[in-house]
Amino acid sequence: MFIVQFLNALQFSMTLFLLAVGLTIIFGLMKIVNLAHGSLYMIGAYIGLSVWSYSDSFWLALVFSPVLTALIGALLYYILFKHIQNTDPMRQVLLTFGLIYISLDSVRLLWGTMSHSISAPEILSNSILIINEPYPMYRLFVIFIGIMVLISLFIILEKTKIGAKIRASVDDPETAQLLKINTNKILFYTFALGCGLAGLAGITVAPILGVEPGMDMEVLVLTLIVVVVGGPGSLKGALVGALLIGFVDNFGKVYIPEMAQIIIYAVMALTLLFKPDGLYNR
Amino acid sequence: MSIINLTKKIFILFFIFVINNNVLFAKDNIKIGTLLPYSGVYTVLGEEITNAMQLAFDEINNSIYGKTIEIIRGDTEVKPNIALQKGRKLISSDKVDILVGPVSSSVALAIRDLVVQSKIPLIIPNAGANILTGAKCSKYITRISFSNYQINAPMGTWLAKKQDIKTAFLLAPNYAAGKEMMTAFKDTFEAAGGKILGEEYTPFRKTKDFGPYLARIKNSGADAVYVFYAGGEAINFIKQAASFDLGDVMQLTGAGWTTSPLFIPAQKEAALGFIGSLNYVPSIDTEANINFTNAYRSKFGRIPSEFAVQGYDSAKVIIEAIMSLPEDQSNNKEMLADAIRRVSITGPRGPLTIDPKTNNVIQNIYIFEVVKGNEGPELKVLDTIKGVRDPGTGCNL
Amino acid sequence: MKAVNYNIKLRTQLMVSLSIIAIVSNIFGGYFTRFFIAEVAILSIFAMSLDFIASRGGMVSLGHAMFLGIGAYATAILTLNYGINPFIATLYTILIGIIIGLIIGYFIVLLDGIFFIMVTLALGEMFHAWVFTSEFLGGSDGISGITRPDISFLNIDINNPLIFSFYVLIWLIIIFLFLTKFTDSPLGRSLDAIRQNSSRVSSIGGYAKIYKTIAFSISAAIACIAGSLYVQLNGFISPELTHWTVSGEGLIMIIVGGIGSVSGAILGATVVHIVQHELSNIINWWMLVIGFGFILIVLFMRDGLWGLLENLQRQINIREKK
Repeated sequence: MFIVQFLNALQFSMTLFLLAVGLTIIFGLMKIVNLAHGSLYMIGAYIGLSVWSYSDSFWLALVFSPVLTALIGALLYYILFKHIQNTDPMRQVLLTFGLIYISLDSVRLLWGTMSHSISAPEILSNSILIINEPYPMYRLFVIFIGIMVLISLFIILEKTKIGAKIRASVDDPETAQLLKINTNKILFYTFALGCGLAGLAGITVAPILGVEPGMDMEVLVLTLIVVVVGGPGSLKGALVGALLIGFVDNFGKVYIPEMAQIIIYAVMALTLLFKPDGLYNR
Repeated sequence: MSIINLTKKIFILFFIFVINNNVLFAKDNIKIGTLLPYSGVYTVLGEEITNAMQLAFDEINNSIYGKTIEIIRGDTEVKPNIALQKGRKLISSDKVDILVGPVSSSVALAIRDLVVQSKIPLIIPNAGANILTGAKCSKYITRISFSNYQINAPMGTWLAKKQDIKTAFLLAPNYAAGKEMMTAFKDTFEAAGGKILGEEYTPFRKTKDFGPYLARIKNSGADAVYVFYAGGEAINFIKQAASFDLGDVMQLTGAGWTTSPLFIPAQKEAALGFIGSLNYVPSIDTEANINFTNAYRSKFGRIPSEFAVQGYDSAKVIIEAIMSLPEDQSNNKEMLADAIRRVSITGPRGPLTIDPKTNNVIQNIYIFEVVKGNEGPELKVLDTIKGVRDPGTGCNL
Repeated sequence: MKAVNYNIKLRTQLMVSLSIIAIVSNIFGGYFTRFFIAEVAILSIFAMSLDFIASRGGMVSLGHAMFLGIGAYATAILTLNYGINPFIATLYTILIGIIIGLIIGYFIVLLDGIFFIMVTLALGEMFHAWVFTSEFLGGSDGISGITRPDISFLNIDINNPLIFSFYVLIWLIIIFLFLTKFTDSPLGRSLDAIRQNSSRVSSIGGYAKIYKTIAFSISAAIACIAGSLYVQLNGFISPELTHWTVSGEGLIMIIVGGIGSVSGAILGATVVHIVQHELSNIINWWMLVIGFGFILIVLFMRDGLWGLLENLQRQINIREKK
């Protein structure tokens, strides 16, 4: 049984990572926390639901969701954030808070209030034997996606020119501008990327966790905790934070179920106590 | 700017508000106030119940004794304090004759005292907390839906009597209703010789991933797992249980909402094989149910759920109660409350009467299995347990 | 965040206007209106507590519903389990609020504003989760049967909604006076200086933390009072009161009303609550409307309705000078 629980924890951690990485990237660059991150996760799942319903193809949904969610993020940035991007970050955070309300009701109006579900694609619908224990293939797929995203982001940030520009803009915006790096454009793309990642998380996890209004806030708090613990703005922090919270939560539920809910908050509290900037700060 | 000017400016807003919320002239209608969720996660339930109520009223052309039946909605948003606010508005401003609601038991407990103090009849079309027809019962409160005990207790006895189920593992969300349901099952299951190998409660509406629990349950060696879930959690649990092949090692059972007709379209084949108990299944083969199902389907495009039936029956009870009174007393709340408890109807669920000791409904409970049907999985009745009542502990009516 | 507002004249005018409206509506309104006024007054107290730390410490809390809950549940337990007079129970909650506020504040007041929001949101959720599953606190069903303070020795029946509304209004005015006196006092002005120079001062450490923690604990105590009155209004408390949406509503109220003027918070609470009530009677998608309105105000009305009034005042002043 341990193998099964280990994989469960890993799969949950990867889900958290997918969510946290988008949020932390936006924070690192724009210095704001996008409270509507959960809403974008939800919108990604719903877009995926529609694409899947019409085309009967999960893969199509998997591709379209992040792209469309990123576009929505880009649109939001252009309409709302661009105007106040050089002002008080708190205002931007408040803006994202207002977006939570708008997206929740929009989703209800467009898709109704019932809970929906997406079926995993045929080839991923079965279980696979791992050391004599059957384990659902789709959950392994989630782990796979998480690892893919991690590797891709690492390559982009460390090995490409645009990655270098992003890192420069985060570490030293003034010098970056002197070097003719268009920081505003970088902000724009990064925001869209962060939103796209949230959407990807939504559709990836939908066959397991379902699609319903209210799914936005359930993940938001968890994601925030991961980012706070891991260190906002740090990719490594998002990974380590996600693994930590994912494993603590999962094994907590197995071995000390009465404390299951409180235990994650305890981890956050301890982190704030001893390392207030998170495990990996920028 | 003087204080007077300022006051004038703000007062306009408040004035409109006050006017809006205090009825100036009353029509002589029969006013039914609903305290149901029309926004928030339970919206679909609020709408189902209200739609079905309207269906029943439409059948009699929306009038009794020549008076129009008017439904006035109060959106509780599943928040007890909002429900209280709307309740006060319905009672004192809109001056409704009867209240119907709520969906959730926590809201029911919040409005209970207001209803009793205002001496207005309340018909509960869903909320199942045992205590509402137990220690907190009242002659003004009649429940026509179910008590948490009623739905789950019969399963304990029934499953234990089946040859292959001697041990069970319980799983439910960690809130009052979840616990009540499991307790009801546990009591009768153990009384019939069964043994509970374990019970777990998952964080309510925060558990999307049942992975850790499913692994434990699979490992427990129990003959059956007994659950209660509704909404998104029901969909997720059934699907995830199937993905872990739980059905291969034990029998999946539980309170019937877990595979309600509302969720089966999302669960699909994952629900097959589930054995559950509920106070209504669409396949009940009686004239009353066939008529109702057809009428509902032609108006709303899908088969009715148990929630719709509860709404429909609430309206039927109201109609019967009013018609049992002389015309000039049809607005008399005391007499209405009394008439409601004496009603006896045959609805889509089967025969319904109200238990005079508790004001809770006495009804059939259907044990069903989810089987393959023509248009997807459907609920097939395995057994009907007749005239189930709630013990109503602590009620002194 | 926004500056503390020392436009005392306008602040007082606004407060007096609101008070007159409340009193008149209370006397001439019906059963429902009176309950509603009491509710708005309680929410105003909550809003003032949020406004206090937002304007005084740049601390925007998305978890303050937790203190509403603490005040409410403490009152329920004290009155039902220990037979304490509800009025005394409210006084106790002030103490409880200060203590818990000091403890929590100690850990979080020096966090950067954005961080602060995230952490308070998480803390609020933790409290909500705990309260939801706590058997002692009634779990998901909550506790009912809480009564109001017995003032029959004055020959007044506090169960009359008219009387209870006045009772709550009295608390509101007392808290308003306390907060305005505090703001104008030397201690208050020090806090404001600290807020304005927060980054510089926190590197010096010490004093900023003390002052901010005190501010946080005062805010917590005020929110506890609101919670205590709330549970006496409805006779009932359940975990829903500690949900993040309640904290969120509070935030909306102070942004709409305008931060920094104390009376702005009250105005914001009044307007938002009325609009919410009216909207939800007409449409199901009222959250959409409120979200839009909120965003518009964040973008274009930085100081909320208070700012609007200030502008009006300024224009009147200019016209009068001519």
